[in-house]
Amino acid sequence: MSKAVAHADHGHADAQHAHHPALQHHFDTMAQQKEAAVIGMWVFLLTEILFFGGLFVAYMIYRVWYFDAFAEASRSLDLFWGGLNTAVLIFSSLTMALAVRAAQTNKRKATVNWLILTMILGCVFLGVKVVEYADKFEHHHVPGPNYVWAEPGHEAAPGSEHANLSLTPAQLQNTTQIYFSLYFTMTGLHALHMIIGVGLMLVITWMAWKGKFDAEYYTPVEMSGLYWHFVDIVWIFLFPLLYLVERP
Amino acid sequence: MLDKLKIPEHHYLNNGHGLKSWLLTKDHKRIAIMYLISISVMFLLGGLFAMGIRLELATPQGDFVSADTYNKFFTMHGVIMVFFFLIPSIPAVLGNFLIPPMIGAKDLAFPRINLLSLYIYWIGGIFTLGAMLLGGVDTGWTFYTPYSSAASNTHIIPTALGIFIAGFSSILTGLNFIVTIHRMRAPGMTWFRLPLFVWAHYATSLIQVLGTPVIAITIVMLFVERAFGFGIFDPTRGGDPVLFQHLFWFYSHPAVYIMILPALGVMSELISTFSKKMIFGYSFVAFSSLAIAIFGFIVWAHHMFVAGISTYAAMVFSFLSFSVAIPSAVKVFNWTATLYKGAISFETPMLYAYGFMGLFLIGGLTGLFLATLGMDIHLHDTYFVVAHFHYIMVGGAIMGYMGGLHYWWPKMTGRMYSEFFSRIAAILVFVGFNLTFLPQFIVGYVGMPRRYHSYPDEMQVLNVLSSAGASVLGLGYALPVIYLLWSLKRGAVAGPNPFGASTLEWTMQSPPLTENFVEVPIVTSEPYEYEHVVAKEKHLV
Amino acid sequence: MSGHISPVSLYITIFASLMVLTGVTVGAAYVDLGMFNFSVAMLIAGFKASLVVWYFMHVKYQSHLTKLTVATGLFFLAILLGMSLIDYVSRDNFAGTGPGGLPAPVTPEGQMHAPAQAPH
Repeated sequence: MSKAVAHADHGHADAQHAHHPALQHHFDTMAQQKEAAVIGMWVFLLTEILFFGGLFVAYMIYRVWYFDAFAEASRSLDLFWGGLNTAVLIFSSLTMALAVRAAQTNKRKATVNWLILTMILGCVFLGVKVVEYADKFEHHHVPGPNYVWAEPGHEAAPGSEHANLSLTPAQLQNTTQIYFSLYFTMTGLHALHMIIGVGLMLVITWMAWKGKFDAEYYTPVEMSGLYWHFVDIVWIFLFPLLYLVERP
Repeated sequence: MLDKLKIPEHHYLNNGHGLKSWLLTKDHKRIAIMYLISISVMFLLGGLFAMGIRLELATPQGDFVSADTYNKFFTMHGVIMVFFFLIPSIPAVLGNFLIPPMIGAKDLAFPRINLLSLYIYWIGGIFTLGAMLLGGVDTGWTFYTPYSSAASNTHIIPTALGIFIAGFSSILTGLNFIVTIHRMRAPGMTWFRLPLFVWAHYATSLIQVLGTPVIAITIVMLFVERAFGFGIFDPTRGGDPVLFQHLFWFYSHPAVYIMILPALGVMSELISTFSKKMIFGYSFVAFSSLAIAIFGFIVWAHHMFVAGISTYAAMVFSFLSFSVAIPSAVKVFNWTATLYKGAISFETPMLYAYGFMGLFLIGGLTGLFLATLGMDIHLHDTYFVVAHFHYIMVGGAIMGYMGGLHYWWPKMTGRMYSEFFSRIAAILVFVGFNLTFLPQFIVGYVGMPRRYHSYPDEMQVLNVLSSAGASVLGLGYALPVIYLLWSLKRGAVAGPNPFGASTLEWTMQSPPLTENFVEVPIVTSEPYEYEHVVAKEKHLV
Repeated sequence: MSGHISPVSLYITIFASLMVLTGVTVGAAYVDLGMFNFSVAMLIAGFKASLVVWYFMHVKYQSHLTKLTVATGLFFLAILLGMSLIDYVSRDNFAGTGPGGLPAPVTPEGQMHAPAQAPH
């Protein structure tokens, strides 16, 4: 044949050291396996970037077309909860990074503790979202047949009487629905990713508790960390786009 | 030293028996075989819908089925053929089987994710086929809003959900290939020693990973609009239906490159092996695959010239669409130059390759007609478009798939099929294909719209020719099922390298061992070098 | 094989920066910068995201291939956003220039209608 003039003698256990129990047979070294995992995880995160990206396209176009509707609807969101959630998520990224670091430095208990803290913060985020969604449901701000932007006698958004709007109430009734369609789809999808993230953390925490990680092999912790940080990054963009269109 | 060839004692097919050993396998080769069976079933289903279409169109009146039913026929034909046959076909079957040995690896980077992608494909298929059994969808495979989001009362959500799920299968396959090709190459296997099949699949994987998520989110938006009454595409609330088209085609145009690039990769292998010559301009062909992948992402709005986009945007996308033809042309020129003064032969895989070159050329050139703004206003939504994309998808992609299947069948099964019947089938496919689709250029040019179940009487002759051609084509696809299955038990034993090819997979036994290579190969030579192979054939070595 | 281990102090610093930048984002929203409000908000968000990617996700210490992968994703996102804009920017009804000074796609009754000019 035209290839492979010489063959490497590939013994299953190198002379230098017996291979790590977590080394899969089709990889040569732990380094190769870890690098493959990192690239693979980032390729997956690329798909997530493009996934949320489609929603950003829709948002971008409608924000320009119906800026006043977006501004009005954005003002109807409670900045306190949005800001709190942002802080919670950023803090959870810190705890996640510290969890990975604890795994890197072979500290099993610390790894578990930081992971648990991350999960708690994730659940706080989700709880706040429930509060926000409930408020929106109450005000009939869920798009669809029962949508009502401004109930008679009610001020839909604080400060709206000061706004110089170019849209009539009838137009607002329709175009704010587009805002909320995007609001619920974007935050809903984000929340779904958070739920999956918390589930992922549960599994990783259990594995850490069982002592499956050490300084040589903590890849699942790091991969989960990448996912968690990504979900944080999405919120870093969602927050100003949804809550801070125009204040007051 | 001509020992009588025997099937090796141990290989991947008999390494473990029983359903569990297959359903829980991590072997990329077994996963490839399971994909082969699955997509063949899908091809048959899609073909049955095609049969329904051609039966209706044999007469000018809409007399075979109602208009609504006809709408469902072409929708299901498109959905199944695009998402469940063409997009997985070569990557999931041939790519899965061959990429690890071609680069000298034992398996893909993530074997369990490979298996997961198969399960996900099955689940997606169940959703879509289930929706079909419930009564199907009538929007066309393109699901344009606002008909799909607000007006149609067919089973769009389960169908779209099936496509969404199958999209993940595609993403995982692409992800696996990218990491594998980057990090699992054998020592000495540099990028420019890779077979062009691998380059083509790398480019395809980029598209799968970057494009598929956008149709996923489009389906999510369609879902929330239908299920909850959200108004992202609803014109009565200020939404823009054309936005759906932008997001849909951002994936679906690169998707057609997912379908053709792997076939282009197969072609490079076939042309080289069956002319016993190094591919002319190897690096140009390699880079052209990447160029097609990247350029393919910036031309999507050529599907929307008459949808309501601005003239300025139309001009930009028209210009870019012309430029994407260039890398494809580079490949065709380089293959032709490879054939020149090569030791050409006419085995079945090569017959498919010859057919591919002619039909892909016609398909590609007619694409340029459609990229021309003035022409497209006349030709959009006519049978000209239908003929164009079938020339590429069937005359190109499927012939590439069939050529590849026949070429690597001896490697995958250890058996040779009947060369006599396989050549007949290849000729039937070529003749039947042209009889089916050449008339469609003409009826489309004179104005026959697509997706209509009736047409003016004067177009009947051409339509009857087309329907007759479809029968011949169907026969051409049915024959391989018979002789390939026959070969499993009665075919001649193939040996490791029946065609005298030069790439690494041909150094393995046929069928291969589960771990592919007994020892990890070290690569020292360029690809497509045939001196050793030819010398061995002449018993000089 | 252990990867690079960052000191705890680095993580705390990045965390503090992110919190400060969040405050800046909120504060900037209350200042009327006209059309620059959006750019400022996106720039700050982009910088915050970069901090997370570079330090929390360790991309600073990863291989060239990893860095290239991240860049590729951002590049194609830019294509998605940018090339969609090519159409919308060049339409007649972009940024509220329709009849009656209203954003063109929506009539006073809130219904969608075609632009007044002949379609191109």
